[in-house]
This record gives sequence, structure tokens and C-alpha cells, in this order.
Amino acid sequence: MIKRIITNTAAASVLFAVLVLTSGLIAQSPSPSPANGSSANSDYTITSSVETGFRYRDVSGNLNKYRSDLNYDTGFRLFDSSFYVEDHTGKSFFDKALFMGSGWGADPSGMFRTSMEKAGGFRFDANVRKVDYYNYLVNHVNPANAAFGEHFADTVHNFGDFDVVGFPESEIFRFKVGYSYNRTDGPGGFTHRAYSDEFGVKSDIDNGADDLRLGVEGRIYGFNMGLDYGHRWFSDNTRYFIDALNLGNNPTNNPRLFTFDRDNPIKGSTDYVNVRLQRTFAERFDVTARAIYSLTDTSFHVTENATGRDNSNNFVDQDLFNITGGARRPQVRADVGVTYMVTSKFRISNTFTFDDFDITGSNDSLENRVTRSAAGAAQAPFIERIVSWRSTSYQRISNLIEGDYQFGPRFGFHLGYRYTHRDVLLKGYDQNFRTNVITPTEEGATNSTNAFIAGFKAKPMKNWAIYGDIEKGSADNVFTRLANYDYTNYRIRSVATFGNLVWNVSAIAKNNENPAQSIIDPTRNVINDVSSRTFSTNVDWSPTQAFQLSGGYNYQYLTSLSDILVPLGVTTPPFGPYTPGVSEFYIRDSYYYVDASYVMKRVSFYGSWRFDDDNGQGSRATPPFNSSNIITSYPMGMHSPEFRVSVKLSRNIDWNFGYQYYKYRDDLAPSQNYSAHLPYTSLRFYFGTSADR
Amino acid sequence: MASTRTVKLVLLAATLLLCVVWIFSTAASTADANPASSSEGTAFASPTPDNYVGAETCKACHEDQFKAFSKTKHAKLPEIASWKDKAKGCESCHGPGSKHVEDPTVKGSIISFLRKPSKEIAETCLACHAGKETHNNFRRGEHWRNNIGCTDCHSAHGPDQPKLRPDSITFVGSASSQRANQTDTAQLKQGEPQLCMSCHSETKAQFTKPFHHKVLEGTMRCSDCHNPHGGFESKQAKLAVGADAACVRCHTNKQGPFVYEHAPIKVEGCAACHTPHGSANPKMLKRSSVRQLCLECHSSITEQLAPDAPSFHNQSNVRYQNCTVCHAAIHGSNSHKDFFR
Repeated sequence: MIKRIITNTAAASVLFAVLVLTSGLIAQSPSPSPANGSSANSDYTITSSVETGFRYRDVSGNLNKYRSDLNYDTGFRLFDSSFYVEDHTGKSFFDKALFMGSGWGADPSGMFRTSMEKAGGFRFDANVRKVDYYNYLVNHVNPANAAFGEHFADTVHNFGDFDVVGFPESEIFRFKVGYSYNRTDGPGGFTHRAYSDEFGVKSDIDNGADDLRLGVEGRIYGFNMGLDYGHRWFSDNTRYFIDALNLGNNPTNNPRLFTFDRDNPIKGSTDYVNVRLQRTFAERFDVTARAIYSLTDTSFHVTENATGRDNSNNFVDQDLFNITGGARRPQVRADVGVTYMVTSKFRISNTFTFDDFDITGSNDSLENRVTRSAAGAAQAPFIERIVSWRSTSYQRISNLIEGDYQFGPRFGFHLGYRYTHRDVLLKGYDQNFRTNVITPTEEGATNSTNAFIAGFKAKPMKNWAIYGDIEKGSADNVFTRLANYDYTNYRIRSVATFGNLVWNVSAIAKNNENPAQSIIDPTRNVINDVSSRTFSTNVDWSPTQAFQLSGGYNYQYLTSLSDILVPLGVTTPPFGPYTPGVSEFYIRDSYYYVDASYVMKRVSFYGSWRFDDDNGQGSRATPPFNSSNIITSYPMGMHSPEFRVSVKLSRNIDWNFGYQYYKYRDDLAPSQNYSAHLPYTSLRFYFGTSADR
Repeated sequence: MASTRTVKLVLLAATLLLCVVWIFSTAASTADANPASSSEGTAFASPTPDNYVGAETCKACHEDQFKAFSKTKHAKLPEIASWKDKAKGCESCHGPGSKHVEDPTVKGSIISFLRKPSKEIAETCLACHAGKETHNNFRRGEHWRNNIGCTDCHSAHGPDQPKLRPDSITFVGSASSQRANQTDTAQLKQGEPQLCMSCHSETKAQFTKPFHHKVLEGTMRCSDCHNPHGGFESKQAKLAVGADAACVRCHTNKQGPFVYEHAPIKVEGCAACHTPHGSANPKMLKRSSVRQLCLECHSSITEQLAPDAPSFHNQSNVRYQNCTVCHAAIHGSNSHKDFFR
């Protein structure tokens, strides 16, 4: 933790120093922006502001939940800073360069972005990002006595992208080179299951990937064409272990682990080629086609050894697994889109997509277990070799035909029809060399769906637009239910501007129904209904240059009802050891916010209040655990008032003081309530034109 | 079947070969863009060289627009070799200005976009901007379908420099979203995510849930996962690493392939179980209780492909209620068919 704080603070300091020093250097260069920031006759225009400060954290209540949700820490931070320079001489290697950074230091997530370009030469974009991820939760959805928090993580995810485009404005030839990285590492928790018990084990999470991209784009014989080649290396070297006697999740029974160690290195790579072309013929007929071939393969080796006692109280002196294998996934995507502009007001489009992949994987597993009886007598070793093979084949085609007509600037509408067909085939076998038993498996599903879409945009007034659309049809649901989802989605949005006031309203409704008959009991109708409603409205009002007010309200409603079969240890004809029940899930979430800012000559104010309240299942009682009905939700409340005052100390410096308060409550036990005070003070430095406030 | 290594080498060799062919082909190819020619014929002058008056002439009356425009990449095009004779400054989009200069009061003497429908405006932009991978499907994208045009999000003249105001101390503020003369990406009218949320207002609530992707904090952008210009994927999602879902771009350990795939992940997508924008449920799951999420599929009431929860998983015993305690590698496993490791 200390190392991480030091690293974050160091990163923030370095970035801050780079921004400030770069600003200073350029400001002191022979032809800088004049002191008043005007760039009219200068060689460079600089626009920059950098803010750095100190945040203090005081949390009462459940710190683990606070860290899982927010994770803001005490310490220095670089926040909301940017440095922009524009060259007017044409002599620099760039025309424009922008550096932006925020969230480094004591914040859980930070980013640093750079964009640089030289017209006719290159464009460079880069981002470096970091997320401190923490997850350790004990809440009402982890039932009592279950393995609380076994799956926790306290990791840092570092990731970034670097892309260069050469000759970005050229129509004839452009090239692209890109690199990305991803690294996740840190401690975590996992579960090892053995001897009819579960053991919480520690893990050193360590996985990541490096991506390299190369590509060319341009126009050949009238066709805009593109070709990309990419390669990804990825690996997962997470290790799982215990460092003390582990009695398992049920400490009263026999099984226990004295030692446990699992190394499970996975390595893999992806290679892909993306070829595409586009052309608009006679300004009427637009064609776009794309084909992607990718091939991903992995190889792995598991070495796991445990010692302890099994469920019969035998001593386990060795339980060694050696498992090797690999998997492979070739995938083909082919897509074609065409648009025919019949007239300047009427267009017909067709989009066809094809997706095909086959995942095949196999492993060779050898277990060598050496045990002694509880009295210490040696037992025959258990040696078992199993070779397994699995395959997942998937093929999907989809075609969407649509037309749109524009009656004038005030009204246009579209209509469309989508057909989708897919095949899924799962195959496999397990060959046990100890029992000489081969177990093959094969299951498949073929499915077709249809959907209609329609929509419009109307402009009743010059500054008022209304968008509406509806989609009705069926959707794949192969893995969940016998029948397709019958769905109807509506969406309507209104965006209106009245002088300095912008008012948006939107409503989204989705109804998914899945009526079917039970296979086991064909006389029984079963359901899987999901209804969701979202209503959202917000207002932005700027009556004067100095004053700005925004406010909004969002309501999310979700009710999901699904017939399920629950194993409850009783026999219920004709469902055998299963009992029919209903799974219900509810969201009744209201979210309000209001933001206001007021800028005066020397002092500026910002205030905000955000409030999120989910009433969940309301008065519906949570059934006891042994019920076949499951009713859940996540009723909670979180509100966070915030204010900030900026005082202009000089032309180039503001002093800021801010405070944010978070109050979180869980409505169901065990609650993880917390409240957090986050006072904050900072200095913001302005350079170049930014100082003209 | 060819070995994986052979296939990958062939892919690389074919790509290199195509690149060489490409470079030689470009010599024989000519660009034929004529941006202004796509506008409907009205009273404005025909696009002959004599009818263009030059941006300096426009400046005399439209000084503010000229000032902003001159800082954009559009204004620099005439300096670039491949655009030298094609880019005409303001008249690249507004058409030849000679008739408008003669008598600005004549309606239709210049192409004006003020009253044009979004799609017609977009056609003007696409005359040059089509052909790049990100834009290829704009004519069939969600925004196109709903009549959202280029100028609803981009400012062709270059937007005003935003004034810095005091902002939230936790969310990314106006400095990091400022795009002074818009060097950042494509002359957007506002930074992300503010621009996207100005219409998709419901997403603001989603990204403030206890568990969410760090979009309001600035670490992620809407365009990291979505292509606002449309695409072949639903919800205008981007692909990552070839043909994979955008999620595996960052969540690399979920990419697989695994010997034992949890099939819905590849077939239905991550959103079968997760709510990607944000949720009150831990791990952004669609249900707060893991067993509920599992049982809604693994329930033989109408079973297809998803096997039943075994009958000994007695749900009245709390031990069996947190499925992923045992089935810990639920995204896929190489070594255990029931995802235990």
C-alpha cells in the first residue's frame, strides 16, 4: 500500500513537473505568447491550466465498501490539468500539441492523454491510464455463513495506447502504427475446492497483454481501402497459495489444508488481419465491406500441490496435479453495408454481417495423490489421467434492410427489418485412462429471429428536436430459455433550447417476454419477463456568463420475473429433485443531481448535490433461504453534496478549497454503511490564453 | 489442419505483400474528391476555377467564422500537397462564392447549412471523410438512422474556447475536457463524456452507481467502447484485438480461448451477465445475488444447453448459494470442466 501511495505520488509529481516545466520553458522561449495571452502576432499560442493539491479522507463506517465504491485516498493529486500549444511558425515538428492529465496521486483512477499533429505529416495520440481496483464486500447477497470476501482484489490496472498516423489528411496513402499495454497486478483472494470443502486461498494476480498494430489506408482506383495487421501477446501468471493452516469454509469437518500452491501460467497470442473497402459511386451508391480474420491460441501448464486432510480424515501427503494443454480460436467476420440514395430525400440501406468462430481446446490432466489413513497407515496412491477435448462452434448471419425518408428539414423517418440466424454447437469428450471410460458430449441449437425497427426525428421548432424509435421482434435466447425473447423497445427523446436554457427529456421502455412451455411438464406455461423503464430529464441554464445551473432527474424501473427450478432436497413430481419457483429482481432507482457555478471577478463558487436512492423490491419480503422463490434487489442510497470555492490570487494562480461528502446506506443487512469526508485544497496555475479569465 | 504458427506466418506474409502492392498501386491511382460538388444545384455559382473567390474575401464579412476556421485543420489543407488544388477554404463546403459576393442578399447564392437536414449536411462532410474505417458505416449507423448529423457534435469552423469554471473535485472538469481550438479529437463541440451525455442523459445516472466504469472520472471515454459514427456491431460497439468484444481490450484475462468455455460469454456477450455502464450490484452483475443469475439459465424448466444445477446443490444450504465460491473461474477454465480453477 505504501509502495502504491509512493508510486502514485511520484507519478503525479512527475506529470505536474512536466506540465509546469514545459509551460515555463515554452513561455520563456524566444517568441512566446505575449503576457496578455493574445496569440495574434506570436509564434506560439499556449493555453494551459494545471491544478494540484491535497485531499484528506476521513471515513466512518465500512471502509471496505468505501474502498470498493470510491477508493479516494489521502494525499497529493494532480487533477484536471491541460497544456495546449499551437505553433504558428510552421517550423516546429508539430502544429498543435495537447497534454491532459487528471486523477494522479491519491485518486483511484488517473489518465494522461496526449494529442499532437502536424498537418500533412502525422498525428500522434497517446493515453496512459491507471485504475486502483479494490473489491471486498460482505453484503446481503452473500448469504450468512458463506465464504465472505473470498473473492477479493486489491489490484492496480495500468493500461495505455499509443497511436501514430502518418500523412493523416492524405486521401491516397496513410499509415498507422499503434501499441497498447495492459497490466493488472496485486493481491487477491480466490477459492480452492477440494475434499468436499472450500478453502479461501490467496492469490498474486498478475496478468497483462501487449498489442501491436500496423495498418495502411488510402485510395486505390477510386476505392478507399484499409488493411490492418495486429498482434497481441497476453499472459496470466497468477499464483494461488496459502501461508498458514486452512480449515476450510466449514471448520468443523475433517478437510483442511496444510500447504497449497498452484502455478497456472497461461500464455497466448492473437494475430488478425482486417481488410476493408468503401466507395461511393456517382454520389448515390455507397458500399462498405470489411473482412476480419483472427486467430488466437493459448497454452498453459498447471502445477498444483496440496497437503492436508481429506473428508475421510486421511492424511494427504501429496495431491499433485500436472495439467497441460491449449486452446485455439480462429474467427472470421465479414460484413457488407450498402446505401442507395434514390433521391436526395430517400435512401435505402442494407447491412449484412457474418460471424463464425470455432473454439477447440484440450488438456491432459494427471493427478497423483498420496494418502495415509487417520492412523498413519500408508494407502494405495491414487493416480488418474484424464484427457479432455472441447469445441464451441458458432455461426451467425444477420441482415438489416432499412429505408429513410426526409420530408424536409422538419421531419424524417426510417423503417427497417432485421433477420438473424445462428447455429451453436458444443462438443466434447473426456477419456479417463484409470476407469477406461470415454464420455462424449454434443449439444446444438439453431435459431432464427426477426425484428422490425421504425423511428423519426421531428423539429417542431427550430431549436426543438424530438427523436423517437421503436424496435419490435424476437431475440436470441438460446442459453436461457426454450423460446426466443419477444421484445418491444421504445425510446423517445426531446432536446429543446430556449435561449440560455437547454431542456432534455427522454423515456426508454423495454419489454422482454419469453413465454414457453416446460419440457419436463408441457402442460406448464413458464415465463421469463423483463420490463424496464427509464425516464430522464435534465436542464442546463446559463442566464448570464457568470451563472450556470444544471439539474436532472433519472428514474430507472426494472422488474424481472423468471420461472426457475430450484434444488431443495425434496422431490416434486414431475420435476424430480427440483422445486418450481420464481426468481424476481427489482430496481426502483431515483437519481437527482443539481450543479451550480457562479463566477465573479475574484471568487468563483461551485456547488453540487447528487442523490441516488434505489427502493429495490420495496415491501416485498425476502423469502427464506429454503424457499423456491428468490426475490432480490439492491436497495441502497448514496448522496454526495459537494462545494468548491476558487479565489483568484493573481492573474496566473487560483487557490481552491473544496469539500465533498459521501453517505452510503445499504437497506438490507448486513449493512455496509459508510460516510466519508473529503476536504480538498489546491492551486490552479494558468498559462497563456487560459490566464485571460 | 495447418498449424497455428503456419497460419499466423501466412497472415503476416500476406499483409506485408499487400502493403507492398498497395504502395506501388497508389502511384497509379488518383484521388478524385470534389467536396462541394455534392450539393444540390441552386443559384450558387458552378464550381469552375473562376467562380471561387478565396477565403480572404469571405473574411471581409464573416470575420469571426474566418478567425475560428483559420485555426482548424480544414484551413491548413491547401498547404498539403494532396489537397492543394482541391481544398478551397470556406468554399470547399459552401461552394463557389462569386455569386454570393456579387449580391449576398440573393437566396441560394451560396450553400448554407443552417436549414439543411442533418443527413444532407453529413453528405457534404462524407464527401471527404468517408473512407476512413471509423466513418465507413456512418450512413447506416444509429446516429444516421435517427438523423443526428456531423454538425450536431462537430464544429466545422472550430468551436469557441470554453471558459474555465470551478468544477467537481472528483469528476473530470472543464480543463481536461477543454480542447482549445480543438486539437484533441476532430473539432468536437464539447469533450467526452459531456457531449454524449447531452443527449444520452440517462447514462449519467448509470455512471454514478456504486460500481461503474470510470467515465465521469475521465479515465475512460464513451468512444473507448462505442464508435459514434456507426459500425457493424450492435449499439455501435467497437471491436478489439481483431474480432473480439471491446471488453477484452482491457480485461485481457477474460479473452481466452479456454479449453472449457462458459459459452454465453462468447456467444451472448459479456452483457448477458453484466451491466457495463454501472450498477449497484457488485461486479456490475445484472442481479444482486449470484445464484439468481445462474439459476435463471441453469434451470431445467426449459433447458437448452445450460445444464441444471445438480440436485445436491441444495439451496436451503447456504453453502450452495454463492455459486462462484466453487465455480470460481466462471469466465472460462483450462483445467476444470466445472470452472473450479
